[in-house]
Amino acid sequence: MKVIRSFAIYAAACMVLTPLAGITGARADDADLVQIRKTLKALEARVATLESEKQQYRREAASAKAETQALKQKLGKQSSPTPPLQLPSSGSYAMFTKTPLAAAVPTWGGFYAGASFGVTWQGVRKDEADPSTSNSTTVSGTFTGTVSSSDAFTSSLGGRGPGAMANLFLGYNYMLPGDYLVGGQIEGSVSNVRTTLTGPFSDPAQLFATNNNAGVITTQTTTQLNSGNTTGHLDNRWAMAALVRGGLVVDRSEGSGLFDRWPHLCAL
Amino acid sequence: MIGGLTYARFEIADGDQTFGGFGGTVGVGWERKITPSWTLKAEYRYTRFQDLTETVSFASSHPATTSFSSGGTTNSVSSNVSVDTNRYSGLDWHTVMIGVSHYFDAN
Repeated sequence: MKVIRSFAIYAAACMVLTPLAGITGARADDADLVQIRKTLKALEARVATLESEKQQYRREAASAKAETQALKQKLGKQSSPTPPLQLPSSGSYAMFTKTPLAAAVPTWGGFYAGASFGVTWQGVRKDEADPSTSNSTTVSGTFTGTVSSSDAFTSSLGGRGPGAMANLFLGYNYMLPGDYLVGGQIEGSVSNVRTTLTGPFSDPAQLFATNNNAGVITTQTTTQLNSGNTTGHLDNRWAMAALVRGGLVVDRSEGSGLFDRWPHLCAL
Repeated sequence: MIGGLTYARFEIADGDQTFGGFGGTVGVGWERKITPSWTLKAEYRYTRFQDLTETVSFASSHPATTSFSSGGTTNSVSSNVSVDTNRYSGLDWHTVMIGVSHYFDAN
């Protein structure tokens, strides 16, 4: 645009000065003055036109720049190589950019990392058997006493309860033809899962006692059954996992709302 | 679909006893791009752990001799044996999670 402006000023100067040079030392007649005024007006009109065109070019340049950035952004997100764009041999840039563009698809392939959190409901059944025996023998002079006892504690508990879990993961996806993907993922999690277990217990017990006091033998047998309900709990604090996953990119259409630009879904 | 192997560490009796177990995990989910390189996802997983049996054995024996000033002596022996067996079965997790992922090769 500077070139256009300089050309206009140079042309105006030439057209004004050239007639004046021809009448140096002499008074220009009225016809010459009229011609000069007409020329000046024409030049002023031309300069105004060029200034207007300059503004128009600036606007077009700004628009083209914005569209260029948008195209580069979309092209950069396509997973597969795209043949270079062919500009038309004639016609404006604006006409080219009005051509419908194929939907740009951001890739799901490659390495990824992330974090997640949620809730885990842990369920478990716990069956316990805790038999025990004890024996004792006491000898004191002519006295000998023996005591044997045994019990067979059993319980059967169950329960399910929630807890929070936080997860960090690292994975790699590989894109397959047909918008399928497969990948692998490793992860570690921490949690505060505690499951309270409740259920019945039974604890039959027997005791045998024998005393020999200077040849006098006495025996005693006691049987007892304890039963009722009891509780326990099972906690989880951390875990880790190695996983494989497969997915399908199921939606490439333009959406609406908050995620207008990237509505792409992957069903896992 | 997602699936694989999970290892978890469990505690009973407020951490006095711990044991680990392996389980199989399957799940389904949904993930979507919120920017070219960031995604938001939601998953449901089911993990079923192997049945676990923990056994704690206990045995003790305590001989004792007590002498009295009158000249008598008492000897005693006591012993205890117990085997505590806990079997955990049907141990499973139902997990619902949401998360974000960053794809390093998205740009």
